[in-house]
Amino acid sequence: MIPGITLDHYLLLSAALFSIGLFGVLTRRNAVGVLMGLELMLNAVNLNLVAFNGLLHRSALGGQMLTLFTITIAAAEATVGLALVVSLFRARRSVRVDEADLLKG
Amino acid sequence: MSFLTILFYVVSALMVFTAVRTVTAVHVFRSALYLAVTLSLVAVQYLLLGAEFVAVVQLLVYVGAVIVLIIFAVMLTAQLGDERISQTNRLALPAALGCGAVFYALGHALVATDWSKVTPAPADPALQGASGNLQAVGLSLLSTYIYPFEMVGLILFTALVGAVLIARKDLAEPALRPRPEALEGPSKGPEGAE
Repeated sequence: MIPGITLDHYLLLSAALFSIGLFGVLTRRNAVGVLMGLELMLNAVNLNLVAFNGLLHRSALGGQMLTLFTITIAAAEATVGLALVVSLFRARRSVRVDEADLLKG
Repeated sequence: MSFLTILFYVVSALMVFTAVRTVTAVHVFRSALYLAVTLSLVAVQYLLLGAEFVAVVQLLVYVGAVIVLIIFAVMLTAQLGDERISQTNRLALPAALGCGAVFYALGHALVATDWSKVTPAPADPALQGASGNLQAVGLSLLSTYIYPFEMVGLILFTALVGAVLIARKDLAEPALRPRPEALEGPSKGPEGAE
């Protein structure tokens, strides 16, 4: 669609976004930071889907539909995740993921 | 180079920069603001790809709702805003190397694949006569994808009820409190600080 921009450009950009999000998930010590990394990874996947839809399958809408559903599920996941963060903070006065060991018994 | 090509490169560079700042910023609140910029730039990419509906939903749901939720969580948990506490664990260097390897593997596989051999998806008969992306997505949501659409609404509803239940104070506390025999002394357990 854009002159000079191929599918590879979008896929590489999305791979970079995914790797950056993965780095955030692996290194952040607080649960909110981990969730933000997760959102970056989800957005990388969504960008992939829309790029496939826009550049390979123009007469159908499967990629955009899947992206809409992914966005909804991501919103649900963020809601539950942040409720867990608030609950964890209330119980432990801390949101460190390495200090959350309530299920260890 | 046309204007759109330059716009793509500028938006992409800004996106990678703000994404890196999101995962490396010392202050979590700042990190959330960088995430908001990244998500808005993703919406710009959707616009460049001709997906207007998805771009609007991205702005509404992510920048409008999820970011507000994250900022609320940051403000509700006071410790998050403390700059003196290290926000990253000790595995930053191995994690960076691992993520670099993941990016290399992904990029190598993506560039090596010949995407022109992919058969295009058949045209959706429900979209005959739809003018523009907005109308096409609206028609598609309420015809071809009606069952997933209803299911995802159900999932969202269940998740919201679950989130309210998890975050409720009077329900969350008894299970997390130490057992009565552990409360011999004057201390009131982890809830005593409130």
